Amino acid sequence: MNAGFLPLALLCAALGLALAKTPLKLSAMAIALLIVAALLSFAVVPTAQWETPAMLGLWASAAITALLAYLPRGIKGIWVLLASANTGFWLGVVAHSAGGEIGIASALPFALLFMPAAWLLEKQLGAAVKIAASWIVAVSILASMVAISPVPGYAPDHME
Amino acid sequence: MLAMIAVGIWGAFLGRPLLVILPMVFPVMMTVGAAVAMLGMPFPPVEFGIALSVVVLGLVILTTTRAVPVVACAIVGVFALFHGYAHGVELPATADPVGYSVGFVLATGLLHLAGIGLGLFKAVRFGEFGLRAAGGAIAAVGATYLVTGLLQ
Repeated sequence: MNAGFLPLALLCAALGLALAKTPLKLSAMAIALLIVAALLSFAVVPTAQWETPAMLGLWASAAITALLAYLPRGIKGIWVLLASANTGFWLGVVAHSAGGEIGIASALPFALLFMPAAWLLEKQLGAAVKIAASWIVAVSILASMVAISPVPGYAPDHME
Repeated sequence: MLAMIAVGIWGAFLGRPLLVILPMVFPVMMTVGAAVAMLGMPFPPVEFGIALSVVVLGLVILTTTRAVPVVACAIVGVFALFHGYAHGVELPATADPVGYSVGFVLATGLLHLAGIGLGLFKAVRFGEFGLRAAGGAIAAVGATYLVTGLLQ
């Protein structure tokens, strides 16, 4: 069993949490850019030979993007666009090698987490957003270790 | 499981900011422990550390210890390493490592939240007494594991 849907969903969820403090209009632009970047990288980037580096890039992006949720004022301006373009890039690259278009389509809705996250912030429950971000960071660190260590669990099994 | 719930209850006793920080420190340090295990690095006896964590975390609830944030994070962080190591040793043999990682981080986080939820009972009548008694029971269970482990 390999990448599948979970890594893509977690990457999008990380972006959603990072956008919690971003103005709604800018968040909507970020989501649009995310979709465009994902489709572009899915179509253009050849990944057959570098699936493992792609996975590492995805997990590093997920961790860094999730950490953006800790910024006291959130991300604004060009940083929002950079974060969504980066997320879209890795989403497309990994989906190309493992998830397919279905992977992208099922993961993208997780970026909309910015709406409930913004609501939680409004209700003074921003701690929940930070805790969820810390979970994504933890999973990313662990999954990166799995990607670089030669373990039987990460190799194709009899189902593949 | 008892250690995770105890972290949540202790966090609820300590209030902000530790109520929020402890559930963040624990999963992150757990992953560090898991990484150490996956790299095959040596570690002190894991079962002993886990049993000791249940004893200590039960006792801090029983005695309502008011640790400063750095000390509380250090206590929870060090014990999280042991729990993470135990998970890390098991992780490579599983068929879906990413699912396993998500599962154990989420399960840990949800147990913390359950502990925090229980900790809110300190506001009701006899609630604090009940929680301290629960802390004592957790410590007793941990002590049983510890003694059993030492005698084997």
